[in-house]
Amino acid sequence: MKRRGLSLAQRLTLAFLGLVGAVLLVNGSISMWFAYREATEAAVRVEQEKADAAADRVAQFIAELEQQIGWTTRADWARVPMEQRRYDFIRLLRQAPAISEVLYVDGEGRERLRLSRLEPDVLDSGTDLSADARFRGARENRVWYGPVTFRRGSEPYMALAMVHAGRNPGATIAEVNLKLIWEVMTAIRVGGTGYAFVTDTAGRLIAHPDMSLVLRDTDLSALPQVAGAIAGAGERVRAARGVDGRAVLSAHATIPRLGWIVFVEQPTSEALAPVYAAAYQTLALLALGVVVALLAGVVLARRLTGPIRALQAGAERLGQGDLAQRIDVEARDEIGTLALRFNEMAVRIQDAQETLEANVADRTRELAESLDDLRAAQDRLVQTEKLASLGQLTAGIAHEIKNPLNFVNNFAELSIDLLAELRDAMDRADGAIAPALRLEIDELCGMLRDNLAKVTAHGRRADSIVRNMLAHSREGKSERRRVDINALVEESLNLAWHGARAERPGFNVAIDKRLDPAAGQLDLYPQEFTRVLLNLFGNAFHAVQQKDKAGFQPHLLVSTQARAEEVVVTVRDNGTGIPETVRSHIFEPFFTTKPPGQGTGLGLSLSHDIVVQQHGGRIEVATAPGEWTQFNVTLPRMPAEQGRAA
Amino acid sequence: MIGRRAALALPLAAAARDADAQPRRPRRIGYVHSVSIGPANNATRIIGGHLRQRGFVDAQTLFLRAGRGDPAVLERAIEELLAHDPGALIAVGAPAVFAAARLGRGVPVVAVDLETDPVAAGLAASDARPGGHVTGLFLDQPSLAGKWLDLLLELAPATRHVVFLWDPATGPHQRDVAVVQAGRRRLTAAVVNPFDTDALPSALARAARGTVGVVMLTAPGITEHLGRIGGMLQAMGVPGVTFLANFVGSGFAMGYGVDQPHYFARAAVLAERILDGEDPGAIPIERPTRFRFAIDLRATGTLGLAVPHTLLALADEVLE
Repeated sequence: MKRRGLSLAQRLTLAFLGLVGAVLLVNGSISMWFAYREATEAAVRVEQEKADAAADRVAQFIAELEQQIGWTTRADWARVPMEQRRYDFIRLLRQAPAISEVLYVDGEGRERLRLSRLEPDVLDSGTDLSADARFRGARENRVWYGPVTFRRGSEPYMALAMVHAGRNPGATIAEVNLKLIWEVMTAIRVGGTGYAFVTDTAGRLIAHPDMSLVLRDTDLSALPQVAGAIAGAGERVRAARGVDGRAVLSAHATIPRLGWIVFVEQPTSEALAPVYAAAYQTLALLALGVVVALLAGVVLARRLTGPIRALQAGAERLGQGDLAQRIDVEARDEIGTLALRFNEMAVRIQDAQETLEANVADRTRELAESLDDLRAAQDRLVQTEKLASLGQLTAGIAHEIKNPLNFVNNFAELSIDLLAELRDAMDRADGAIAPALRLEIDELCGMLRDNLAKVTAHGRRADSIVRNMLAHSREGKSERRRVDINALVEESLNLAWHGARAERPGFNVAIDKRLDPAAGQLDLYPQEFTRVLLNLFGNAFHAVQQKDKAGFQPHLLVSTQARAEEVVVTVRDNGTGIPETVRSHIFEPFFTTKPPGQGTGLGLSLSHDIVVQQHGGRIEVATAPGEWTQFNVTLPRMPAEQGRAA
Repeated sequence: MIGRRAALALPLAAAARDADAQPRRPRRIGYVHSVSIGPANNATRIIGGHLRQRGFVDAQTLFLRAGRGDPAVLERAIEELLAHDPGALIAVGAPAVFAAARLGRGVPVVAVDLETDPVAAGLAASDARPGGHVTGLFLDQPSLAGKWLDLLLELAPATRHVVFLWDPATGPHQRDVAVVQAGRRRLTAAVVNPFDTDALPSALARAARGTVGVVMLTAPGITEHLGRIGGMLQAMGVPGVTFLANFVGSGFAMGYGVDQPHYFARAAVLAERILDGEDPGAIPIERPTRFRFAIDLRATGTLGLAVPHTLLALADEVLE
């Protein structure tokens, strides 16, 4: 089956797979696209919210500091005793760990008090800070946030200056260690592995969960998202590379009064995890669908092509001649119907074939029978012709021999007469001849007479033979009439019986006559047919006589049997039977098993001639050598002329 | 849903992280203390505790050695640690830091040193980028001595004489600043080695009772001696200030200093980051952010001193 690349089952499977796969693919793609957009938008929204929240937290950190510093900016603070101010500052340091140093500058810009976590307290140093940016900033802005500076190039600090209330106010200046925002940053959760960080407007890192990055005074302005945020351009949420180079979804929010930018960054993989989840889900569904489609396709194709294959195989086997082939298809569909029709067709073909074979067998048998009949007829014809020509030959020979034989016979008889006349003449010339001579002549004459008598006797025998021979050509010469066949048989049997008894007085035989009364009258030549019967009976008696066996009971069965169109005369004896070598010659002229001189060998030859040629009948012999011999003579009821013509 | 998301995200995150990971170092830490690794030792207790919490096992992945204040013992201890092929050394106290930096054969050193300026001492190029194989926690803040003197004077204004407990192994810088600061406050000063058990009583005996106070400068490994010294101070009725805010109660009236549990824990974090492959030269030196002040009202009561409300306001911890 290599005429096509793919089998029907494979093509069906592929078609099913393609169809289902395409539907799943389109469906999955659409749902993936929507899920992607939805999740992306959600992620962006979430990131924005997180950025805002983170900015709020950072702003809150500073706002709390402001609030705590606010305790020292009361209008009456300029008038409280130094000890009270120091106490307030101690409390401030105690409450705000991020403040590492706090200064009070009076309205004139003179430093009045300085408390530090690392340095001894300084009271009333009077240092002129009126030109200090912190003091000026506080006076101008009420609250002033200094730029972020990195002490020793490492620790981020910011000055936070607040002007006091009242006329010609002083200011409280706090140095804030921004490392402590770290606690705020680590508290900000951005998904599982996301993080927040803070830069100033120059892109320098102020706060990050990884303290080391801050302490390293990292400049992030090279990051596109930081640069974009500084420039204030672009989306607030964007895909970017994080500080560590990972792909992240970055969002930012600014804290305008500090000039800080708070970023939240979440690894893209995590932010888009729902998208991936949806994608994986869709892919899994797609794979599942394809597998199911494949299985279904295979099963369907099998179920579809299985019967087709069965049909195909059945057709092939049928084509190869296996007519008993039936297709076992259970399906009740078109293929099932097709298989049913196919089976019906196969049944019909098988029936037709069987009928054909039966017909052929019949015809063959009939032909064989015809051939047998024909052969038998031919054999018979050949035999008949042979016998007929032999008969004619015999008749011709007899005819040719008859005249010379007549001469021989006649002259022999004449010579006998002449011898008698010679004796008479010698009697008359008695005395003229010496007695001795006479005696001698008498003796010679007597010998001549004997010889002549033998010539005459054998001449007569020869004559009889010749006459028998001539009988072959003597057809149609005797009269033909309707005769009671049973009577004819009985009469002939009597004649033969007595003839045999006459020839051999001790001869005895049990005769069983079974004459069918229905045999009736037949149109035949009685004289000729009597010859046939006598011949058959004579042969039978001879056969039983020949059989020399202890306790042997000679038996002869003679029967007639009436049939619709013919009558069968059967003569059966339990004599010597006919040897196989002899059987084919028994109807030939001059063939005899009897010793020379006892039979002419013309009896059966003539009988055959009479029955077949004259009466249009059949004569058949059946025998078991040493057991029995049966002759069947079949005579047609129809006129002999018709039989002969047939 | 969250679980699946995490499951989906984690491999990606892990892959991203692996991509730029540096070669990891053997996950073994050698810890060397200049003086002691006894159970009472503050740094050892804090740092060792954190490392054990992170899965390090003594004698398998965590090896502790002490210098016993003897440079030869210290060197031998470091050699022993190096024989274990550690991924990082944690050195506590200036002698151990210098010895580890010198003998460490390039093994990263996480220093815990409250006396040394790492840049000035040549251990690091800068705080932000040390550049070498030494990083860690440094607090060179000799100005704290003035702070301690002010606290002492605030509690006991009658003080005219101060005895500084100073460990020579930490270097003279802190002592020099302290003596100058004392002079500024018109105090006479004496310096005593805290490990010298006989020196302190004789030094205290020289001054009149009620006019003498004790300031303990930073000294690694001193915690085991706190009880002895504190008991002596109590017995002699001398107010004392220590840099160990967490160990007030041993007889010292006050403690002001780095919040050690909070600060020292960073050493364990930095060491683990180094084991994870980070370049120690790129890990900034960390200064303390939090300071604590603790006051023992029992001790002050014994001394018969009234505690001013400013001190109470400043105190993160008050023992009563």
